[in-house]
Amino acid sequence: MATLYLPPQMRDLTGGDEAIEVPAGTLREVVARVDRRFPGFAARVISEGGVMPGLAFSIDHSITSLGLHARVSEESVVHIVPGVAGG
Amino acid sequence: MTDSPSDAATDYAPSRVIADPDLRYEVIGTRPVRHDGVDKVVGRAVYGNDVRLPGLLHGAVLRSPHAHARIVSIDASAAEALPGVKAVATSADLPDLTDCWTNLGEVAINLAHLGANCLARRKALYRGHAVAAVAATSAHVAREALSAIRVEYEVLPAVTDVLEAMEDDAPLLHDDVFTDSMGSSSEHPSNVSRHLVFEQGDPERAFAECDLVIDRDFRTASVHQGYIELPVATAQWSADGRLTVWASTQGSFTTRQQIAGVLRIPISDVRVIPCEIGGGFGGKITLYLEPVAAILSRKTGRPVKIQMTRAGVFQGTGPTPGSVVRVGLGVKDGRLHAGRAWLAYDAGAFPGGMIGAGCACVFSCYDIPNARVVGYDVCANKPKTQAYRAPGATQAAFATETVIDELAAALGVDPIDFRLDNAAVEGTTRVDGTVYPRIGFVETLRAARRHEHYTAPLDGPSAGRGVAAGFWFNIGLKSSANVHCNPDGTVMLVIGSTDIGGSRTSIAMQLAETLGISAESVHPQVTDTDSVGYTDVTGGSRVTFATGLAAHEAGLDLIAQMRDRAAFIWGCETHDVTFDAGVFGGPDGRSLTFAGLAAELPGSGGLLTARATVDAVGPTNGFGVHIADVDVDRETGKVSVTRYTTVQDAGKAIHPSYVEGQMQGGAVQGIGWALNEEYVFDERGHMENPTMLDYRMPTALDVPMIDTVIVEVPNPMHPFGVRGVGETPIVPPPAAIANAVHAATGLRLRVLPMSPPRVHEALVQAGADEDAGGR
Repeated sequence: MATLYLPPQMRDLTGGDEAIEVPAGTLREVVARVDRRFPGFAARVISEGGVMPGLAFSIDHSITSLGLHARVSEESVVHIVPGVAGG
Repeated sequence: MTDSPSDAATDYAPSRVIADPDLRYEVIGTRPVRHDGVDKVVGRAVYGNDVRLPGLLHGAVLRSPHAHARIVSIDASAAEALPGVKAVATSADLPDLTDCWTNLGEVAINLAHLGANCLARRKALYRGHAVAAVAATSAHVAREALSAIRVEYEVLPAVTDVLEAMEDDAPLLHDDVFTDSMGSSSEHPSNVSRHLVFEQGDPERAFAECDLVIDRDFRTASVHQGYIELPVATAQWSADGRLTVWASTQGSFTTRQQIAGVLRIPISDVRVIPCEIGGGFGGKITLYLEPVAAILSRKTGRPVKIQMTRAGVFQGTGPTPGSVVRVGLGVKDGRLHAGRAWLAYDAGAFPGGMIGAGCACVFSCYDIPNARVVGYDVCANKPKTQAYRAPGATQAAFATETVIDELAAALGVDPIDFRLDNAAVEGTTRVDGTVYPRIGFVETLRAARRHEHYTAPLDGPSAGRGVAAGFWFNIGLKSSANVHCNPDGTVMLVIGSTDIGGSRTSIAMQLAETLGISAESVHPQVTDTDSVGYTDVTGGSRVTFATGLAAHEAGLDLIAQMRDRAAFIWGCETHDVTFDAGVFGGPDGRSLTFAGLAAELPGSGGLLTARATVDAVGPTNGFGVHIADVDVDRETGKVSVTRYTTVQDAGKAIHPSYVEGQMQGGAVQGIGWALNEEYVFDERGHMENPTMLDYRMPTALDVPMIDTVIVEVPNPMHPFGVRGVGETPIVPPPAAIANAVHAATGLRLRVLPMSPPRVHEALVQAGADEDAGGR
């Protein structure tokens, strides 16, 4: 199962749990399944059908540009990080 | 010089190697003359202000004289009546957008804020905020007409200091901006637009376990990118609804996207032609003039060009955030065991500063198992901050690298050895949860320690030496390349990455290496948004990595097509045709060079075109280590940099001269940030030094020759091992110089810039303290 790591500010949703294991093949499924277990999660990370502006998902330690279409595997680790722009 | 990692890489074997460090290249690593060199040397290159069109009108921008004011009314009738004035534009001519976001690849931006920054809507949020614009038959008439525009303001209290702006009773810039805490919003509007928390391990417990803990507070001033070319844009809105914009921009496609978004027109109706660019450093990714020139063109039916003044640049375009940073580090048994950081960055007039990067960068060079980082993005009555080379990292590194130096001194350990003992390596987890792939920080530190500069004698009692490290993420994103093969064996390379630091040539060299031809046989051209596939900005240290990858893949496509053609000519199967080092081989010993086969193309089915579009992943990270020698004049407080060496992992230096140029340029900008540059505001929030005379950037006379050492730890995710190099070198200088000043004087300076008055005051205070202690 993929493992989603929540930043400290989102752990209020899970009662303090940092890591959540979810069976999923895409990031969209990760978000949907976590939201089913912890209602309100999707609203914190999704906006207008895409990733919330200012946030990014890191899958296996690489920021994905594929949004919710991004694939995850059974061993994937997923982090939520702020978007970072270069100069 | 280039430093081989061969004696340093044994401890940290790469987990996945695509790039082969033992590969020998024909083109990569050489230093050919840049393809655009002659045009630039003889003045033939076309910059934004060189654009001349029939019927061209000239624009000028009226800027707010107040740092914070409600715009009660704008009466442009007198200006419009002046001879030669053709149109006046205000925010009323732009669509009134509400919370409308567009994704620019690196980050999403709020188009409502972008539009309101181009022309103030309802409120002016900083002195210099554009309020109205004029198009006239000459630039002189346009400027004169500005004084005839009557704007009635209701002046409001202003705040420019980041900590003051965070106070509950601070003047509020926006009544629709709330504090976002990872998707959770505050109940009341606030200048604090974003609150971030990162944590790993158990920092509270870990600090209690430490043998030595040092906590320090730091401040940095807002500084500007300092590009020499003034922003300029020319727009022509044709009767058929097509808008063409000539821009000085770091990204023609994102400029197109922003223009279409702000004006609410189809993206297919906008064509952006990127001109040569006289510096950007992150400051020419956003828009200021393009939508304004566009609406003036629509109003007049004529092309309109607007160029900023230098004062307009300082007062109206984004500096990098001023910051307040508190960093604490704890050591247990000689190893970093715990870290804590609190960062507040000013975002300027609209939300969206660099706080996320600052938080992720603050401990990024080190393996710190327990850490907590808190960050705030804070609106203030200053120009909207914009990216500036490794945005957000320099402020954070100034704090951390100074504390690291203090810890090493307290432990009696050499500062580079201390860094080596605690360096991030492949597998280290950063505080934001990211685990590093193969990186070259250890090799870079070792190269710095080996450098003769590090142990050279210092000259005189007022001299000191300091070191500091720096990190930047680097990014990948999207790039495209088209390659057209000519019958003479040359190829045309068409790309969309605007060339700021010699990227035409570094990309052409990667194509040349792929095709087995010379760099001179590739003719690179940067073209407009109608003529090549989507390409993200020239920023994030991505172009040599990502557009180079696109060129490489287009080259592979061309080779595949040429093998097909060779098979046709030789009457064999494609799989019978080989390609190696620029030579196609076939059955029975037949062979053709690349040029030989190219000559056969017209008569065997026609010339060939190849293309590639990539969404590049795996840029991997950049690390640098700088060594600075300073001399401190105790009479005046002036700090002179007497020797400076930069060491950086480039993965593989495609054109070493351009890598060295990036390292030198970044170092010099960092030296300016360290010693002189700052936005000085009066109590009304007015910038007091909006000229190059008073905003003191380093000149060639202020800095020594910057020595460079390129370390090459190949990026396993790039066919030639490239890592981005453009941003990392601005990160270490302030801390390296602060550490050198400490070595020279015993003073720890924790406020930037370390300008002569500030250093002098610190020296006087230290003397007074010493006298008091002696009494």
